Amino acid sequence: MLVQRNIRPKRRMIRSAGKDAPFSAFVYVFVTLFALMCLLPFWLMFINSFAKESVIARDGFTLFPKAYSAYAYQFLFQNTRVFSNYRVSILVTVLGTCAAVTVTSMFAYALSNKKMRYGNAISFMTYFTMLLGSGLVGFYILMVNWLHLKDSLLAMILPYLMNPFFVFVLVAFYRGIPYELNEAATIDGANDALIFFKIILPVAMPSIATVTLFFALQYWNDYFLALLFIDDYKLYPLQMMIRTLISNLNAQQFISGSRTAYAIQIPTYGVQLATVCVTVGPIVLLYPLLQKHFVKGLTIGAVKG
Amino acid sequence: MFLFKKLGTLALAVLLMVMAVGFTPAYAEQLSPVELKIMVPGDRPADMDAVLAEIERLEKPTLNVSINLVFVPWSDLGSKTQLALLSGEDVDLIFDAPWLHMDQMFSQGMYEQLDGFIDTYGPNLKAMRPQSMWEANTWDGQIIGIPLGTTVGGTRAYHLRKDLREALGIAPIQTHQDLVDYLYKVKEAYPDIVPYSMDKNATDNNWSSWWIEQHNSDPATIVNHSPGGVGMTFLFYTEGKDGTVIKNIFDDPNDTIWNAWREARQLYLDGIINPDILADNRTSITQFETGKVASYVSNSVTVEPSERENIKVNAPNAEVEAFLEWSMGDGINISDFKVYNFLCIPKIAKNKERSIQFLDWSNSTQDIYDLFAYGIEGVNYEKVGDKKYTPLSNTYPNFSYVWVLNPVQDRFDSRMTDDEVAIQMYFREAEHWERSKLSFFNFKSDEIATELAIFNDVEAKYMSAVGHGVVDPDETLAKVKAEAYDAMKVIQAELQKQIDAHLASQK
Repeated sequence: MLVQRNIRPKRRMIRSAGKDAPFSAFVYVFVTLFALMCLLPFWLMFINSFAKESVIARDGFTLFPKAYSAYAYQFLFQNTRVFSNYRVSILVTVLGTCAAVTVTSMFAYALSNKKMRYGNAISFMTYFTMLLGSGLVGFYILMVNWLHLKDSLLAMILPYLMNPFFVFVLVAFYRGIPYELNEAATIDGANDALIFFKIILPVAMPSIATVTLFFALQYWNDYFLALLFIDDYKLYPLQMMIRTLISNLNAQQFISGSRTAYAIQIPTYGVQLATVCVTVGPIVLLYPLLQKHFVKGLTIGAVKG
Repeated sequence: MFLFKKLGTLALAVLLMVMAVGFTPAYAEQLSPVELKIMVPGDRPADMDAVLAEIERLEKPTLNVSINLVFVPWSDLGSKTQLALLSGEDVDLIFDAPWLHMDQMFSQGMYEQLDGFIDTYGPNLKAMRPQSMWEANTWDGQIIGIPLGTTVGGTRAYHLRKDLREALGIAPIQTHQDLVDYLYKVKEAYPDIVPYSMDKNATDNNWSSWWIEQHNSDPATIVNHSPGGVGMTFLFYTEGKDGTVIKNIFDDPNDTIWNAWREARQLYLDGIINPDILADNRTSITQFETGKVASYVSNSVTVEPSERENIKVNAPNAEVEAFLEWSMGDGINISDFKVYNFLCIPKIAKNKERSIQFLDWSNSTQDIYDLFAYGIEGVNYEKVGDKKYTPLSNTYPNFSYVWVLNPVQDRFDSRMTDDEVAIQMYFREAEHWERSKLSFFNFKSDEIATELAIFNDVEAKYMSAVGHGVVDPDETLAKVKAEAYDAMKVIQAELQKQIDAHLASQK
């Protein structure tokens, strides 16, 4: 009896799927295969970071290396710089993302409001920066000679605080929110700040989450600002470590014309892969954390009648 | 009142210090504290802090310098150093080289002329480098960088698998033909080993370039590439031991050059040269150390000890030997005595005297030099006699070529044999070499910058592939001619004009 009871609901489910079953099966198989294909490079990177160096040199990258060793990670963590680099990366990403999301979302809200005076002019000025860059030397002089931000964490945070592209993404989203919400709150006595933080922000969560993710990725993956403005190795983010690692691989090419045998320590494959694994770590966790916000459409049903 | 007293004492102390500095010609007493910012390429070694602490402990009582050593990734070296110079950043010593942007930075007036500083503050710097090195490494007759190098002339050598050669019953390789025979036999007997490979981007370091260079010992067929530093291949060349007439390969086809290109092509078609040579991102030495490549051309004329050890990890029976076809004698070979790396002082730097004093101190005794170059004795390295050392750790690899290197104090790896050291010494001792007529010549390319850019692009696009034999030389050279011939004529005329003027001024 027990067995029968268990089987019945299953049968019903299949019946309710009806003619779509073969199609669903196809979709499942396709998506699974596709997911596996996406996973494959990560797997290769992960498993080969534990492979013995000689195995990689002889057999290349394999799905399941023949011999394993933790040398790469030992080598990586014997240098305490990894930990300070980690701290800097996390600090810059957390502070930067919070500040950037706050500034960008507030700016975009102001721009999206129809009552905003000179809104179009400010929009144009925001948009204009997307077309023309300032040039590297000017930017460098501004940051280093005028603002004195050399060797400061702020140098890695400030330049990305407001991203015009994300501003327009958010403006478009805010405009989709019924203005009646705003009016109702105003009648209830809320001021602009209260309206933004208590009413608009929760409703706009899906777009804010998207922008947050992009900002976090941008801060986490950035090495360029550190390369320009940070000379103190204790303030390097993790990405500078990868940058140096990769460029050491190519160093031979830069100096090949000089006819001298240079003693350049070329990191082994294992160390390269382990470095990438270590730097990818925390940021991967951000996706599932923010994912729930992407699917929610919060404005549905917010205005009745 | 107390504050005033204190301030007064402080002022007196400062005054006394200024007087002490002002009246002390050398640095017998402690100088005022200064931080030197030094920008060099590479990756910060794990033990850098320990070594810097030891350096500062030794020099603080006199020089009183705090060292801020900034490492720039190799790939960003050009842009980052240029930016630092252009924006007027406060850097005291900066690495530069002719292969980077030294000519350009010099012509923009970025670097301080150092002749006077070295005369006053750099007796050791001067003593540790041969006079010929100082004379040849000038820009418009001025010293603008401390030369960091050991060799006065250079060449390359084939590194090959000795164990394979012996297993195949081949006698030690003496000639170019011996080598080619060896490669064909390796291909036949070991199908899974690539007979010969190189770096993929090697306009100047490939089968043909090296083949041509070997003829430099034979007066009848001597061809020199990149005269005046133009180009990396034999698109421009001079003939004869010390040729000063610039030729281009299209107007004056040269047999030595064409034969080399055709030979490379044949070797590629026969599977001797790595079929994937243009796709392999690994350096040639990395490929060789996997044990799956039988030979390559190395910048080092002898086998590096690390190379010998690394290959054994992957191929336990592997033995490595170097084949150097080069007549070593006096007066046979010419050189321009140019060094490849320099440490310069930007014009706007604040502590020029102290920078030179500091560098001078680094070259002052063997012990101090050893500290800079090899780290802390007993931890990072061990001395072996006067001229050798054994590295003990990988936490302070030798990167002396970015700041202190000189031919007198540099040590050899103790794992090198005496024969290998003797070969290395030949390339370091100025007395064996004759000075080439163009050794003081600096090509000023500002006037023809556009043509040079076109030429460099085309050369980079095609000539690696030609040199490796991957493409047909006749077809490809026709493309090079179509795209760059006009520019080349302009460059050739300008180069010849400047060389003639230079030679006239030398007389």
